[in-house]
Parts: sequence; structure tokens; C-alpha cells
Amino acid sequence: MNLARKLRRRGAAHLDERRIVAVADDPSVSVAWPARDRAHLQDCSRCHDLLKRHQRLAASLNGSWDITELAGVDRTRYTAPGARGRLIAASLVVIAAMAGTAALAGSMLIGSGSGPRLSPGTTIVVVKGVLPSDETSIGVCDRTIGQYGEAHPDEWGGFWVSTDGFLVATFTGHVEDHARDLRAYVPASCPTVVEQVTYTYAQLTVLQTSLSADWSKLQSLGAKQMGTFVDAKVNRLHVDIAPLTPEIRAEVLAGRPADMLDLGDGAQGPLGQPAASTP
Amino acid sequence: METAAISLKADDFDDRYPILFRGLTRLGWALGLGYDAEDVAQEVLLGGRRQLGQLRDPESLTPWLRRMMVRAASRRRHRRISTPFGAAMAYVPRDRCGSIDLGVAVASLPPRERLAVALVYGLGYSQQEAADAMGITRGGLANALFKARARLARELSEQEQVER
Repeated sequence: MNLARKLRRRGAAHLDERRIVAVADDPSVSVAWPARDRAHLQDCSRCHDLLKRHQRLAASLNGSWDITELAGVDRTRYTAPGARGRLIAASLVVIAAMAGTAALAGSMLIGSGSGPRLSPGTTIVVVKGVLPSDETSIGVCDRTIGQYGEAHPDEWGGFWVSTDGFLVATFTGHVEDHARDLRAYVPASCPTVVEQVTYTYAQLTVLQTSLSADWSKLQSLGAKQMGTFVDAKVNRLHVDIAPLTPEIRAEVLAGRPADMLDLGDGAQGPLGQPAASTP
Repeated sequence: METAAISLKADDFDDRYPILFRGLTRLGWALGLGYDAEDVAQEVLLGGRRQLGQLRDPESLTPWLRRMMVRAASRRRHRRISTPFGAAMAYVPRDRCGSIDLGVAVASLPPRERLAVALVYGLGYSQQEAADAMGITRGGLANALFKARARLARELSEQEQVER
């Protein structure tokens, strides 16, 4: 007999938490317990409270789950130039000043609360240089910019690599603010420019999902294969459908902005299936 | 004859592609891949299709792909660098506990415990399926689940306790 059981016989030890978890999942488990343990669970405030906590927890864990943004960048600075935005900008100024980057601090203050000023197609050079050739360094560059973009889904348009070796990060608004932040954030070894585009990556992805949802309808019109991907370079959703008949083209364009689509019949999605899907 | 069998498997694989892709993408979200989940799922499916000949039992296709997905996600995460943005996207329960942010609490669990909780409670895998995907024993998974739940239960505040 182990020590815990001996102590419990004397009324001095608590129930093992694993047994409490088992009861939280299935109350009928305790029916098979010795009467002394059942009584302990009722009488001992510590064990009883622990059971209640586990029951609450089990209810939440067995409930619905979401994909949620946690601990992301506060976007107030870009979306609502109010008091809170100024407060955050001021906080960042203090942090930046403490880090000895006075120039960055000043530029943040100037930029806080400013609205979109640039027209689509504007390009700002963030970091000059030559893109590293090894895969690890390139991975660091694209990961850095990708994560920055993911933190700003309301304005992020995706990124691509230009033939002259620049990572081109695109945004639909506040391009100057993003360029300034990226300048302080992107490693010096990652040549980067920022460009303004019309549609966000999220908007193009929604379009991709809607097409994927219509796949059976397109199949009924004779479509055999479809492939889609968001082309950040042209800021459009590239769609290949084979065969691309006039009926299928009309169906694809029905209710969808034509300037968001790059429709063709040249390629196909992976394994000949629709490429667009959502989790 | 052998070629015909593999070809048949490939056709079957293609037929199941949309379902497999959806399942792996969900797993990718649970693994914390964020917007990379679809990319990694596609890579895994393409790799899996190429290696179909190595799969001895067609029934174990899904667990086999899940293991590949977990390994691919691990490689992808190791390539990530730390950023000031912290964890951008996380697959967590909607908080119904009230006094604590359960989503943050789950996201803050050690990786093994967080993954075990996400697979079993979030995605509804059986404990055996989750253990297979993680490449651990069922006992190891049960242990990870218990540790996670004990940790989360400790975080529930005193005010949250129900009147006896």
C-alpha cells in the first residue's frame, strides 16, 4: 500500500489528481471507488474544488476551438489614429529611445496616425543589398517578412522576389509606415522594397475559397481540372481551368471582380485537383 | 503487377486528395503553422504520393501522412526566427472559463502538451491517433494530456471556483 493511500486512510492525504480528472470526464467512474474515497471527494474542499476546476476546464476543452491571433502586433497605430494609437506610439518611442535608436523613435512619432497617402504601384526601398544565395538565409528573409505581413492581415498583400534580387513586400495602405517598421525589423542582409497594391492577400484568399466552393458547379459545366494560387506579383488570383469554355469563364466571372482574377487554361493544381481549399 | 498495384493506390490517393488536404491543413493549424498550413499540407501530400510505394498498409495512409505532417511542421518551425510579434496564430479553445484567457493559457503550454491537447480536444483525434501522429506511445500521450490539464486547472482563479 502506498504512502498516499495510507495517509488517506488516516484522513490526511488528498485524492490523486489523475482520479479527479477521470471523474471530471466521466462522473460514473467514482461509483467504482471505495466509499471512503467518494466521501473524501465530497468532504475535502481542496479535492472538491479541484474537481470543479477540472469539470470547467473539460467543458471548455471539449467545446469549440478557433484559430486565433494571439500576442500579435497591435494594429491600432494603423487603423485608428486616436488616443490609444498615440499612446502606443509614445510607448514604442520610449522603448526605442531606451534601445538607443533615437532616429527610429522620432520617425514613429511623425508617422503615428497618418492615413494612406500613396497610390497603387508606389515603391519604397527598405533595405538595399544583394539577396543571399544560401537557402537558410533566404528562409530567414522570407520568414521575417512573411511574419510581419501575417501580423497585418488587413493591409498585407503578400510578397514576391524580383528578378533583381529584392523581396517585394506589398500592402494596400500605410505603405510608408510599413516601410519604416520593416526598415527597423528586417535583417540588413535582406534587400527589401515595399509596394502598394489594391487587394489584400486575405481578399484574394477569400476569392480562392469561393472558387473552390464552386468546383462541383464548374465540373457540371465540363471543367476537368482547376488550379488556383494567389499571385502576389500581379496582385491577383491566378486561376487555371481546363477546358476553359465560355460557359465556365462566365460562371467564374459571375459576381467576382474581373480585375482580381487572372484566368487561364494552361496549368493545373496539384494532383489534378482544385488547389484552393480552406481548413 | 506491382506497378499496377502502385498505380491503383495513386488513383485512390488522388480521389482522396481533397479530404486528406483538408484534414492535414487542420492539423497544420493545430501544429501552429498559421498561414503556412496549406503549403505544408500540399508538400506533404506531394511527398506522400511520391513515396506511396513505401506504404505497406493502405489503411494506415492517414496516420502515415499525419506523421509526415508533424515532422514537416517541426522542420518548418525550426527554420523560423524569433520575432517581436510572438505567436501570431494559434489553434486554441474558445474561452468559456471566464476568469482566465484559456486560449492564451493553452498557447503557453509546453509544445508537447499543447500539441496533445490540440489534437485530442481540438481536432477530436483518439488518443491512439494522436499518439501515432506525434510518434509517441499512448501512455506518453496520456501523460502529456494529464500534465496539460493539471497545469491549466491550476491557472483557473479562485474566483472561478463554483460554490460547493
